[in-house]
Amino acid sequence: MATHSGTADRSSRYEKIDFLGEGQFATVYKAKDTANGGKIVAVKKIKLGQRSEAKDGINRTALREIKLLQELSHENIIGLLDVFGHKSNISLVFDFMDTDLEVIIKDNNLVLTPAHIKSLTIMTLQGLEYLHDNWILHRDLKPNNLLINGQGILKLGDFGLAKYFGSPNRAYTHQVVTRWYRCPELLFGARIYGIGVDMWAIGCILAELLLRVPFLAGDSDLDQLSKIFQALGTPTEEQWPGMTALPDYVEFKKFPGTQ
Amino acid sequence: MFHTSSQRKHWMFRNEEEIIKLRRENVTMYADKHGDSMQVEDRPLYFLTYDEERLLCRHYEHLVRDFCRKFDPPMPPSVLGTSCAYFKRFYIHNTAMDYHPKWIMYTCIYLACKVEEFNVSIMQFVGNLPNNREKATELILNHELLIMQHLNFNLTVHNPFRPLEGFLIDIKTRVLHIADTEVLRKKAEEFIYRSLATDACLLFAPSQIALAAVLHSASKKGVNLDKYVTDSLVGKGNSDTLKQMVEQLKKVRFMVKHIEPLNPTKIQELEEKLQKCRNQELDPESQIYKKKLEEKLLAEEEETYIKRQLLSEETKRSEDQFLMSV
Repeated sequence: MATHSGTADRSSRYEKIDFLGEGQFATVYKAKDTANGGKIVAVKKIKLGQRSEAKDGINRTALREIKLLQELSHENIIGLLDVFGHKSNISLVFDFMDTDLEVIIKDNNLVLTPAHIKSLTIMTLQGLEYLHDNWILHRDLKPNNLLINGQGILKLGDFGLAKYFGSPNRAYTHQVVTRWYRCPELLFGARIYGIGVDMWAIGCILAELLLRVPFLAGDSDLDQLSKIFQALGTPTEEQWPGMTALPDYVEFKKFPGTQ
Repeated sequence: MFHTSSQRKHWMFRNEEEIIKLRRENVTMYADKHGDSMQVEDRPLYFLTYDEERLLCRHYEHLVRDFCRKFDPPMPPSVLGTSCAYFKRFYIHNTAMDYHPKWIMYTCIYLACKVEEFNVSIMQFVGNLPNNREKATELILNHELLIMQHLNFNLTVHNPFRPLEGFLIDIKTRVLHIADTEVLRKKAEEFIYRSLATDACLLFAPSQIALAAVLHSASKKGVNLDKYVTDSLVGKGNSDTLKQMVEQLKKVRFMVKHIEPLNPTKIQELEEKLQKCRNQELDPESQIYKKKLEEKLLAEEEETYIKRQLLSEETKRSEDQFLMSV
């Protein structure tokens, strides 16, 4: 990782090869690490933009990624290889990943055998187990954030919503996880939750690998709950104690669920 | 997990001597670099000595704690702990003569707020300052990246507050003769707050500091936790582990008990001394710093301008090529 000195010239260490994509907060480039035998890496340059946009300083999403990934090292978690500041910008250097699970699922020329699906799922679960062992919730698992490299290794990426959990009395926001992968407790507005939010998302992703279309594609939060209950049956207070006391609880039609 | 953390790997030191050595090097190197026209024996008169710098930094650490405690809205203790850790870590590899603690202090606290997910805007943050809010905003934001670099981008800090909660819950479940563990809380928390005025976080695991705090509180309240420590925590037949642990806990308690008081007159003198011997090039209020910053911004603007020019030329060229190919 970064050393205490000489961060000034690090931007010249990474030679840009290609533009990979642009998000709300960052631009990502494919680059060559000249100090490491020309190793291919991904450089994520965090946008600071105009002073007015950047009025609170360094972007919080970037801070989350830095603070968490600096503590982690696992084959199935994206590696943060370096961080450097250049002038008023900050850049994060990651393992280069060739594609992601969303691309694979959508590519109908690819056949996914049960062996493929098992392998992708176990890699996801191993990465997630390590994360949970380190008391971190990912909170944004979806096919797009499961990255895959040329060797077929899957790594969990995008830690912009991730968070430490397990502190007593700490309430969290329920506005996390892309809707289709969001679990019922979050949809009912729970402020105290745990690893279930990530496990639910994994279940949806596994189903999507088998179906090749999103399993529960709700078009609003209520529709999402409705789709979940249609598929799995509407839970009762006996099956899920405390459900009716959740902040945004609404009663749903009693679906039996598909067997 | 603390065990595999960057804190344990990069920000824990074997003993106090190791920390002292690093801090001494910072001040000596600064005096050597900036005082080469001076006689060696005159340097301590002009530059801050090791002891003087320590006193000044400890004074600013006190200000960090004071600012955090009075912060509105009230701050969770982890923000205070992380702020203190950042400040201490920063001055392990830097001297106050290069970077004035005043701005390092505020930036450390601001960064800690963000990292600990205590969400306040910069406006709310500087609202806690008595005056000069606009200037403070600028200086804090200008120092943010610098501090992260000097912290080696190791932003996660494990504080003793969480293990304290853990111990209280554990004692409540396993030590049946204590009816209410809440009686232990106040004194234990006070102990941890006092530990922030020492280098404990650079020498001991957060759980060791928390356990020292619990045992300190228990002894004040006349609660006996010996059996909990020997049987529940260490386990029977591990006398070596027990001995080691007791040794560590003693050291923590010794440190927290022996905090030297700060002398305000002396600090005032040192502030004046620092004003003279500090690095003008790194002083955000000096003319030379402002000039440098301006040059930097200009260069940056120019670079973006050139890049844009190149890009538009490139687009033009590819458009031309496209037109020709039609």
